[in-house]
Amino acid sequence: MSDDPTPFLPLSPATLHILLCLAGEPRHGYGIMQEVVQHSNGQYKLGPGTLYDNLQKLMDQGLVEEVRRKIAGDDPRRRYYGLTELGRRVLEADVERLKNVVREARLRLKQTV
Amino acid sequence: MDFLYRLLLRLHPSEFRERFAPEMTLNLEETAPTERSPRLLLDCFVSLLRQWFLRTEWWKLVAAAIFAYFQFFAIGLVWHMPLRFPRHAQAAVSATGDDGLRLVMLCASSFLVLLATVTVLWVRSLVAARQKASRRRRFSAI
Repeated sequence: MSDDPTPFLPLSPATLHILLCLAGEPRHGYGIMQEVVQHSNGQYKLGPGTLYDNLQKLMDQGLVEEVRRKIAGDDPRRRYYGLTELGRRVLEADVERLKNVVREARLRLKQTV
Repeated sequence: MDFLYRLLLRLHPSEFRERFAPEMTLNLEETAPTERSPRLLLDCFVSLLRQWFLRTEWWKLVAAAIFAYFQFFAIGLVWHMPLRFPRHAQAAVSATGDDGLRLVMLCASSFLVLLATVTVLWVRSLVAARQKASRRRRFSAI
């Protein structure tokens, strides 16, 4: 698989939120859904269908991987997901792209004022 | 609602089901009853459509089978058509009995072809899924 992040850009909102959640530490599905609500101030809610469909796609693309993490008292059905190196690079590239979009938008808005 | 959610999960392609359904069921169990809304079902239904139509090649196979069926039907119509022209009216009158039988046979045979195609494709995908699952089991055992 190529290490170039450009073919994966731009990321869809759901993908961006999922990758952002996993950037800090590996999380399980339910944790990702809760984290998305929290860091978007409740503006973006990810349903389980959308989440796992995206996780499947991201795992197939090699951006996310399943991480073995055993926590005492955890349900055996629970699975943890984390970013791969490629996933981290793709996220960084998209954040950079968004920064440029914001910079450009600010510049144009200043001009119109 | 739990029953419907589990039913929708069971309808997902086997690869997705084996990979994520246990965790999705766990998530449902952990969701407070007040948070369980019809939106959850809708989301699961959309995921079901997305899985079958975008993530698997099944839609192509189904579309091909339907197209093949219509092709058979069109060939049948062309074959059938000359009997409807006035200059063949005499022939049409004498051939009416055969005509109906011919059409029924054509429809039945094209339906059988469609059924056989879908069955073969279904069995092939089932075998492939089983092989994949056994490979995964062998891999995890190592």
